[in-house]
Amino acid sequence: MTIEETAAKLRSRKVSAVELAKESLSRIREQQPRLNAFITITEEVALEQARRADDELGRGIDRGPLHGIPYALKDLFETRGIRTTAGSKIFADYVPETDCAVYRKLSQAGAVLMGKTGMHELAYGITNENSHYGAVRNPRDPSRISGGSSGGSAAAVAGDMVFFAMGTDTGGSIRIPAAFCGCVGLKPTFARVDRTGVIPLSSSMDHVGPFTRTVRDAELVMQAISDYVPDRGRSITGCRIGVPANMFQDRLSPTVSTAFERALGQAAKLGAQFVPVTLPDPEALNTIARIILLSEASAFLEPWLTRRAEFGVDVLALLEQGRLVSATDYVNAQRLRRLYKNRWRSVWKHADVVFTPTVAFEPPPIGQVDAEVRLSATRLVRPFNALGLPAVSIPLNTNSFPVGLQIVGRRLGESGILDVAEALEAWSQQ
Amino acid sequence: MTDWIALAAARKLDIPPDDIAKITPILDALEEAFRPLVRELPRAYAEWE
Repeated sequence: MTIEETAAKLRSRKVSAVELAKESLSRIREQQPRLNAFITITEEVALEQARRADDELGRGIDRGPLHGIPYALKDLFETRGIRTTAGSKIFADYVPETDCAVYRKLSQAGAVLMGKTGMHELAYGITNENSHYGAVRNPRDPSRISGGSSGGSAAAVAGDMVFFAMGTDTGGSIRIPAAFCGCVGLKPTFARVDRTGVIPLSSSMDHVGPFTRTVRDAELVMQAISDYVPDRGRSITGCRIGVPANMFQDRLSPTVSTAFERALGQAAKLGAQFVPVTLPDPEALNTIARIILLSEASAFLEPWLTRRAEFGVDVLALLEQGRLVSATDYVNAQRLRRLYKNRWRSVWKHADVVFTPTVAFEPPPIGQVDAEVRLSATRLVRPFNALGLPAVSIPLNTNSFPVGLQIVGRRLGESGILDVAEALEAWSQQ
Repeated sequence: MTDWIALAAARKLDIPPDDIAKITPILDALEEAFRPLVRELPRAYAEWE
């Protein structure tokens, strides 16, 4: 069921918010031993918020489409009185005194918080294999990774535990788990969603966005948490879809390659116009983004680096790399980033949106992800963190795992990418 | 190539040499990819305006 369908049932009294919350809690408890999607389940908060939602609807107070809808927050969104670990031992006992901006907005919208989801330690990795809280497992096959770093949020949505969940994306951390778990993951334009009260990783590349079951649901969440005003209704017919001639179609698994070609074929059937585009060196952008990420993450976490034993091995290795990047290289990386942003402007003279696969391969088994796989998982998504452009990953069904189709738009062009995503959505689920 | 162990020592960073040895190939590869990009930067000061 979608958010809109459920919202209609709430208003016609076919279901209550308390019933929805109890159903969600029951599903979470049932799935938790299998998937480990949550670090904290907020049962009391959920039932209290749900009772308030029912009471308000009964008195004619309607806060909009998220009123009474169960959701989850990645465990780096600060929540007053509720432990916020960032998936780390460092913050294991951190109980914030204030709420982050997104939680405040979702509470104002009447949404019901079911819990805080599992994540890669400090959002610094894409596997969600977490040495402190255990691996989050993929709902489609629990022997495989969920992807990360927002893997618990993706698993909670794909595993039908909540209607939507919030994540963050610094180098693909919304889009990668969305692709691996088979749900919609939207990384909006940089800073379009207020990051106040979100524990940072890379201050100039962290993005906040939703995981949902449908494209329309992602739009409803965006309306509640940001200044996003839908400007929808453009037909895919005649839409100029940029298909990168370089890098983005290299080294794809056969399943990903076939699914991507099928998506292009379907878009063509719907009347889209394909434009081959050569993108300003995406490999260079990946390098630039890595220099920035390493520097900013180590700068933020430096006060805790005296507690080396409390970091996971993979995260500590990244933090040590960051300490060895020079200030000169960091500044030059930011200058190069600006240069590439300018070069990217020419892409939009020829294309309305750009299509790429989200990840080049299907989710690997837990425990079998090496450094090379980690880097290649971010290859197709990280450039758009450096550029700050909106990008959505939608699931394409295959005979095996779902595959992500990434649709990228110009700055503040969320409506454009959601139009195209929605046009392909019904077909993509077949 | 940069001597990362010497660099860490010069900056008084408390990173064990064994740890640095493990991340050296990654840092070397990153530096090799990044150094040519820096040459793309314009010399003009226009970018600061």
